[in-house]
Amino acid sequence: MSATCPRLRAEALTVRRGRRVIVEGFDLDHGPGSVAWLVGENGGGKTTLLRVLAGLEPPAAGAVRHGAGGGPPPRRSYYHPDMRLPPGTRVSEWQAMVARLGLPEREVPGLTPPFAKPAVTAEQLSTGEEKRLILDAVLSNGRDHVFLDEPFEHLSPEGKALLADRLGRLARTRVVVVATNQAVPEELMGGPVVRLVPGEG
Amino acid sequence: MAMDASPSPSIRPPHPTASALAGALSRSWAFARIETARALRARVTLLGAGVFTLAHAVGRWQDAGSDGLFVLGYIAAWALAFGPGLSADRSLSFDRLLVLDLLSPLEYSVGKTAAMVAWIASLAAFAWTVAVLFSGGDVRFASWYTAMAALVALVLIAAVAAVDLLMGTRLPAAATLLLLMVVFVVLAALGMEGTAAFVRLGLVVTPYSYASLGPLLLRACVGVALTLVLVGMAAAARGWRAPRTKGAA
Repeated sequence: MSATCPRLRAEALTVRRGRRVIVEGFDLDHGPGSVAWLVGENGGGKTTLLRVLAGLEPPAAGAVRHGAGGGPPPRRSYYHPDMRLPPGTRVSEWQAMVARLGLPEREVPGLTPPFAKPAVTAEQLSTGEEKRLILDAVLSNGRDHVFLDEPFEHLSPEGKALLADRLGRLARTRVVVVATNQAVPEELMGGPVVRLVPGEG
Repeated sequence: MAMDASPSPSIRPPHPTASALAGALSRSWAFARIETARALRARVTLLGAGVFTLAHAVGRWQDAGSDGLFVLGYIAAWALAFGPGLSADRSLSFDRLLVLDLLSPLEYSVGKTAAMVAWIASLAAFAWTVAVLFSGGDVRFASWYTAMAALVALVLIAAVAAVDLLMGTRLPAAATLLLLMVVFVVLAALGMEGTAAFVRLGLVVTPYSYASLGPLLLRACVGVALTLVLVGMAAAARGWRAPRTKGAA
């Protein structure tokens, strides 16, 4: 984590996907203390807005600023549900690699369930187990700005509870923005909620 | 009691640049290890090893050519089994996971290239062992032909990476070989002698002369360097554009 205070500011933001306007004149000032939510059904533009807020895509108009002084590029974590481990990757080897990367927060109690067989490979995992392995690595990298796209998807109730707990702890010191089409966990309510509706411009 | 009057040596912290470089190399190495282990365990690698062994056994048994089909077997094994896995990483967004969250594009590129080189070295070590066994302990034969075949594979490493990135085929090495043959045929049709193209690629060699492998070695180094640049640029480009799920937004 950097010495500067993490902060996310969107100023007069216009985001488009193709011809469709997702948000126009959108302002957001979000810092540590709570989780910011982009919610709504699929097709509302959550992923596109999240990408713009993460600094991965330029907005059509307006500006996104990160950190106390503002300005890209942020030290960000970014998770997307399409991220998968290659077939043949052993869980034990993946966890050993993540440990060797020297991620700052790998000691934090993780989301990953213990596996009976260390030689189990990625394709033998359930989708939820694989997601938890990936989220564990993404959330351990100690970066100031955390952007997660549908992180609760495919997780078991236990996995969802563990993730909600982890996000709550992360949000104390980081900027955390989550896009989801699921219900916001009660314990994480209190932050800004941006509701995006499919088909509306 | 005598006292040492010399000033106590001060402990200098490591230079930040050196420390950052060591950290980057360590992360690349961690990635290269998992990549190499996965590639060597793949069924297609075992199949490639089997194809080489079979080809060389037949070559020895039939007394075919001066190399007992060593080169043909090696190329067949390489064409069948070698793949950087770049397109596979893309289809799984695994490259994005690594580049956006865990590694820099350069660390990804170094790790990926190191894993590719390690795979080629592993096939070379296997081929050397088989050649020594089949030749009754002819280390001179096994060493020279292994060095030559491995260098040819390294010369083509960047081309295979490019084919994998652009075509997304399951057999990028075989596709590269096919493209190379097409290029040779076209050059021949244009009136360029086949040997001229071979000379340019450093493929004209003298058996058992390590000096004649010099041009191949030079091109192999260029191939590895080009692979580093190519994979690094592709990874950097992928890191910038985050994935978009079909149907979701």
